[in-house]
Formats: sequence, C-alpha cells, structure tokens
Amino acid sequence: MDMEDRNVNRMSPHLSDIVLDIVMPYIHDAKDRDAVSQVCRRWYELDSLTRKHVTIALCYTTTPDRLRRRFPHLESLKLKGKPRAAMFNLIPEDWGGYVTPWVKEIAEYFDGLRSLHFRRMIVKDFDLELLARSRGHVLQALKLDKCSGFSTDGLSHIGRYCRNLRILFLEESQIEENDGDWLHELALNNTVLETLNFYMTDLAKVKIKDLELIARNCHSLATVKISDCEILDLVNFFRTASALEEFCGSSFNESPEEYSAVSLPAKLCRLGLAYMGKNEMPIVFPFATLLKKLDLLYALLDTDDHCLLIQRCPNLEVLETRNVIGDTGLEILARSCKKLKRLRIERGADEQGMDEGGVVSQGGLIALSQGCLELEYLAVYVSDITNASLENIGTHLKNLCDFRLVLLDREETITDLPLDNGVRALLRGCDKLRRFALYLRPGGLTDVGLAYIGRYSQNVRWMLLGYVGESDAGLLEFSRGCPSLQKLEMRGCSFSEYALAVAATQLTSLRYLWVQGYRASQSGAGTDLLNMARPFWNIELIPSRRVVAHDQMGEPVMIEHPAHILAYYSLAGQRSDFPNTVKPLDPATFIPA
Amino acid sequence: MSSSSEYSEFSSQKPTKLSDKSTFSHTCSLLSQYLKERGSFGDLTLGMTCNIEGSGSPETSCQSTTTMNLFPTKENNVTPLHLTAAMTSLPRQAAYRPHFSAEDIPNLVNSSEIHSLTKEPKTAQLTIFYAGQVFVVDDFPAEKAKEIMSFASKGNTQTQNTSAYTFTQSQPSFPANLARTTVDSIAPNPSTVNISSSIQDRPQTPSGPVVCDLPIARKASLHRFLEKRKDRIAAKAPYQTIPNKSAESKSSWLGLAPQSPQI
Repeated sequence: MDMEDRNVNRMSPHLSDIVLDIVMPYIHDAKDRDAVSQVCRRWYELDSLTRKHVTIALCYTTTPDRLRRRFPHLESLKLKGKPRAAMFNLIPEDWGGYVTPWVKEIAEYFDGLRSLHFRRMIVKDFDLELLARSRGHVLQALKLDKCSGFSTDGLSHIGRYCRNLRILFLEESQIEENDGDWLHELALNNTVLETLNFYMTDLAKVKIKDLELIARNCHSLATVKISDCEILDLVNFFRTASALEEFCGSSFNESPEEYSAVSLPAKLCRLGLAYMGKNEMPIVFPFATLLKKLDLLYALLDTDDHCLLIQRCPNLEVLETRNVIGDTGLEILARSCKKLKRLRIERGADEQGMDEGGVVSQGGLIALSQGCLELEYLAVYVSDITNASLENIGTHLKNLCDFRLVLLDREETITDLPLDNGVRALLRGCDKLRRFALYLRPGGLTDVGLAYIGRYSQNVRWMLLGYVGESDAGLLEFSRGCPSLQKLEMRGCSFSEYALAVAATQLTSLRYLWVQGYRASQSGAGTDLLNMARPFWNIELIPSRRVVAHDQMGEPVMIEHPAHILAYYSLAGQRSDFPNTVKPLDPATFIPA
Repeated sequence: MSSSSEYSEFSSQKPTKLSDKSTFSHTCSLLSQYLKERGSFGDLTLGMTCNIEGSGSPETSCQSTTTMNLFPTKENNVTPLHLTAAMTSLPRQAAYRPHFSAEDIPNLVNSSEIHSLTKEPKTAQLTIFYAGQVFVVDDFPAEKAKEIMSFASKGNTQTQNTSAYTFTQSQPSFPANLARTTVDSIAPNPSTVNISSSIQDRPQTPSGPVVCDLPIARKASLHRFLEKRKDRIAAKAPYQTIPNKSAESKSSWLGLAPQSPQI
C-alpha cells in the first residue's frame, strides 16, 4: 500500500499541485514556510509565488533585487536596519540601514505591497515621496519605527497620496519638524485611518484641529498615540473619537483641578498618559476596570500612586512602567492583576530622589511569579536579586516565552551571587522561552552558569548576555548548546576574540552576532576574529571611538565607546555603504597591523 | 522575531561568489556522462571516509570543508553507513521521493552485503552538491568517486589563490531542491568540525585587557523623557506662586527651585 501511494505520488505531480494550492494559503508561520520551501523545487516555487509576508532581520543580509525575484507577490514587508544597540545610543547615527534601495525596488516592482514596516532605518524625504507617489494608492500600513533621516516634508507626501492608509506609525522616530502640514494633508485625504502613532517623537507643530478632523472623518480610528500635546486641548478630540480604544502621549501642564473636566472616550482600554501625576490620576479611575494595557513609562507616579492605580485594574494584561513601581507595587500587581501577560519594568532615574522608593528586587519577583501565572513576557531592571527568586519564576511561570533581567549597578552588594543555580532552574522550568536576556555584573554568573544557559535554552532564538561568565572556557561550553540560537548579543563579557570566533562557529543556528566589550587580540584588532570567517559571513567592526555626551548637569563630556563586533550571514556580500566609523573585516584582504 | 525568509534563502539560492563554478560543473557533467556509460559498483563510502579523515590540520582544513560540501552529511566522525543512508535517501529529482527510503537502508547495508560490495564491482548513485546545484549520477564507481574528490580539491586550491573562500559549506550551499529534512535536521554544522580541529592547531594571539566598566545603557526614549522631566521641573518651579505639593517636592530634589534653598 505504502509503495503504491508512493508511485501515485510520483506519477501525478499535478494532483499534488492542486492539493498544495489549497493548502498553501493556510501556511502563514514563517518557520513553516521556510520548511515548505526546502522540500523540493516545486514547493519552493509555490512558496515563492504565494508568500505574503517577509521579515528581514537585517537589511544587509540580502538585496532588494533578490527579494523581488524570490517573492514577487509580497503584500507585507518588515525590514530592520541598525543593531538593537542603536536604541541605547550605542551605534553611530550614520551606521547604515538606508531604505533607499528597498524603496526603489518596491516602487518599481512590488505592486501588491500593502504593508511596510521599517525599523531602526534611515529614511529620506525622497524615499517617502517616491513611496507615496508609486504605492500611495495601495499602501495600507506604513511603519517608520525608530527611524531617522526624514522630515515632516516627507510625511506630507504620505498624507497627500496615501488615501487608503490605515496605519501610520512613527513611534520614537527622529523627525525634523518644519511644520504641521503633514497631519493636515492626512486629515484632508484620509477617511480610513485606524492607527495614528507619533508617540515619543518631538513633533510639536501638529494642529489639534487636524486631529479632530481625523477623528471626525475616520470612524474606525481605534489607536492614537501622540507627542506631548496639552491634554486640555484634546477635549473636543476625545469627544469626537468615539471608537478610540487606545490613547497614549499628551501632557499635563496646568494645575490638577483643570483636568477634572476631561472625559476620555468610553471604549478606551489601552492607555498611557505621559506626565500624569498623582493629582491627575483620578481621570483614569472611572474606566480602570476596563483597562487591558497601561503604559506608565512616562508618567510621574511614585510607588504609592502605582499601588492605588493598579489595584483598580483587575483586567490588566499589559503593564509597562519604570522601577519606581517598587516591590510594593509588584505585590499589589500580583494580587490584583491575574490576567497579566506582559510586564516591562524599565530603569528609572538614577539621581537620588527622582524615582523615590523605586526598588525592584527578589521580593517583587517572587510575589509576581506566584501571583501572575499567565505572564508570557517579563522584562525587568532589578536592584537586588537571589537564586530563589529565579527558581520561583521557573516553577510558576510556565507560559513565559520572553524573559529579560538586568541587574542595576547602583547597589554595592547583592544578596545572592552567583546566580548559576537560579538561572538553571529558570531555564529548565520555563521551557517555552524564545528570548532570553541576562545582564549582570562581574561575579554574577560563573562559567558553570554560562554552561547551564547553553544546555538548558533549547528553544531560545535570541539572547542578550551582559557581564556573565568568567573565561573563554565558559563561552566555549555555552556554545556547545543553544541549538536554536539565531541571534546573540553580548556586552561587557571577558571573552577573547578567539573564543568569540570559535563560539560563533560552534553555535549551529547562529546567524547574527553583536558584541561590545571583549578582549581584543594584541596583534591587531580583528586578527583572531578571522577564525570565524567563512563564506557568506560578514564581519564588521566599529572600532572604539570617543563621543560627546552630556552628564547629569547637562555639561558636555567625552565618553569612550569601546569597539563593537557585528557579524551576520548575508547573501549580499559585504555592504558598500560603510561610514568611517565602521570597518569591514575582509578575510581576503586582511593584513594584521 | 527573527523568523524570516533570508534563512531559507541561504539554503536555496545560488551562491554568487564562485569564480570557477562553470569549469567545475562542466567537468562534473562530462564526468557524469562518461560514467553513465560505465557500470560498476564499489566501496564508495570507503573512498569518502578516507578523504574526510584527511582533514584536521590547519593546512587541510579548507580542503576538508570541500570534501564535506560535496557530501553534506556534516559529520566528521560520520560512518560509512550514515553516508550511504544520506546519499541514497536524497531525492533524485526535486519533487519526487527518493529511490530508497530510510527503511530500505538496513537491508542494503547489512554487514554481509557490505562485505560483498567491496568485492563485487557494483554501482551506487552519487549526488554532488556544488555551487547551489545538485548533480545526480547513477551507477557511480568508487574509484571515480575518488577522482572527483581530487578534482574538487584541485579546484579548491586554485580558487584559494584568488579568494580566500570559494567553496560553500553549511547552509548556504544547500540548493532548494534538496529534501533538507533528511540531512540537515540531524546533522550539526560542519564548520564546527573544522574549527574545533583548528582550536588546537592554531595558536591564538595574546589578548588585550578586558574592556570593563561599560555603563548600563539606558533606552534612548527613556533617556529623553527623564531629561524632559528635569527641564519641566526646572522651568516650572520659578513660576509657581503657591507651589503645589508635588512640584515643591520635585524641585527640591534637584535643588533648582530658587525660592526654596532649604539648606
């Protein structure tokens, strides 16, 4: 029977095409698609023709032309540029990641493209103009996510031509502001907008009238996230935007009593009011029970305020805030918010007194792991830590797929280091982990602990390690494990170039490596890194440099930025748009200094 | 997050860096034509293991890479059985099932048969992966397999002069029409083998001091917010005729409120 089946299969490839045609549209997961495309030439072709979405984790890993040849009918593209470290001001602004070649290709060939997401890339006004003129009529989503290099003039083209735009996302982009016309254009031309986001941008010249017009014209407007506009000026907007479910941004500049009259739209369930203090907080209370997401990252609340607000939000699923929430706040959270899925606790101000009482430590983590069993994402900056708290997470948080922990350097002594056993227990317990970040301090994790990470992170694809391990031996042992690790970032670890090179070649799934803070070879930076040289593996260095920064008093100071290594698989060969700050390490031409 | 297409592209696009591709593939096709007319079977696997065992020293590590590229079963310590299994279970034509399924293998290579195979000249199918292409040759004799190995290594040494890395290995060299599940999912990266052998052989240069003291970086968005907050407090304070409670306490943190030196 088996044999017959096989023959049928071999004799009638057309039958299988029909079946495939039916099945293929239901395969969306990128990994599944990846597997499908590797079965045989025919499946590869069918996948090529039917793939709707592609994410390119680094724009230099392939070329626009290759993308078009492989996936001519793309409807959605996500493209990332600068390394993650750029979000922490660690990467030179002109590092690269230009969208221009991609936009040209899109303008010319991708006539089915409806959704475009650029992240940490450099976008020019002419890119936006070309995009708007060529694809404006079909574009439904445009996300310029932490991008830079463009101005409001470029956005005006988007506003003018993209009449079908449902999502315009500019969050955290650095935009040169000439005027507020772009929003006016958008308000005049668009009636289908669902998401408008210029949160955490410095755009200050937008006119509230245009926001109101958008609210009036676009009946599906569900998400609005804006820059620092006075909230009292938004009263009409809130009245008009009756479908609004998410609102973030704005600011409170007047005395608190003025705000008692502000009424927010009835359907709001995701909220992030910047600069909201204790006295303005009551405007949230009426619909606190509806809230699913609360963004307090940019609020002016202390620990007690957090407690007051959080205990009124039993349906909270997502909370983002600073460590000012404190262990007390986490205990309230653990008691009140049983549906919590995502929790991000960022690092607040370091200055004495600015984020008073904001200390998150083992106590808060233990409460959390025992109270919020649905947690899938947990990212936290802690001031103190113990193995027991990590073990608790491993025991209770079985749905955790993303865990990030940074141990702050404020406290001299930490209760319980190294964390070897705690980390092992956490990794063994949370076997769904896909992403894992651990940023400690010297002595925080021994080589044994590092080896545990290698051994017990079966499914982890992305990892960030800071100040872990003691020697090259730890790294080498680590690199015998991590079978799924695709992207590894390391900072401040004591590994030599040579060990890094060996680890990079031992990690079987690795395709991206970023390192800052390592032992450079004395015979010339990069010499030992050449041990990881292989076909299609690009190696780039950002040699150490001095940059001007501002100290706590705002005075300019020179800061030494140690060298970075970036290495990644690429089909495109070495890129050609290096700035002076980036040096390619080419094994063919390398001459040790 | 990083689920994406470029991964599969590695495995399915033709590499572009090859300089002697045409020469070599031409040689291969000539060879295969010639061999198709012949018909003898031999201990093909033995020929291959010989070559693989030759790897290890730094001088030959590149060469051994080549060897494994041609037969990407990806293990240095691979046994003849594994090699045979991997080769025979590879699909001959893209869309179709292999001639032999995994269940057939044990029958094919039980010990007595291996014994007889080495004596009686028989043929086996040879599959070569090279430059993103697959060459399938039926009825391939063992000594010719060795010959092709030497062709390959010659090609490698030639191209090494012009560019340090010519032969593909690992994921990039897999063509799309390869049923990769049969090979890749069970085998580790071949580069592991090369590097670990070179660990002992290549002395590393001495390393400089550890760059320490990297301050924990703050997210740019948060950094901007904290700066703005400071400015707000500083700007607000002088105009507060009757400072409300929160503004007062905030400004005193920084000592920026001019009317409240409170020392």
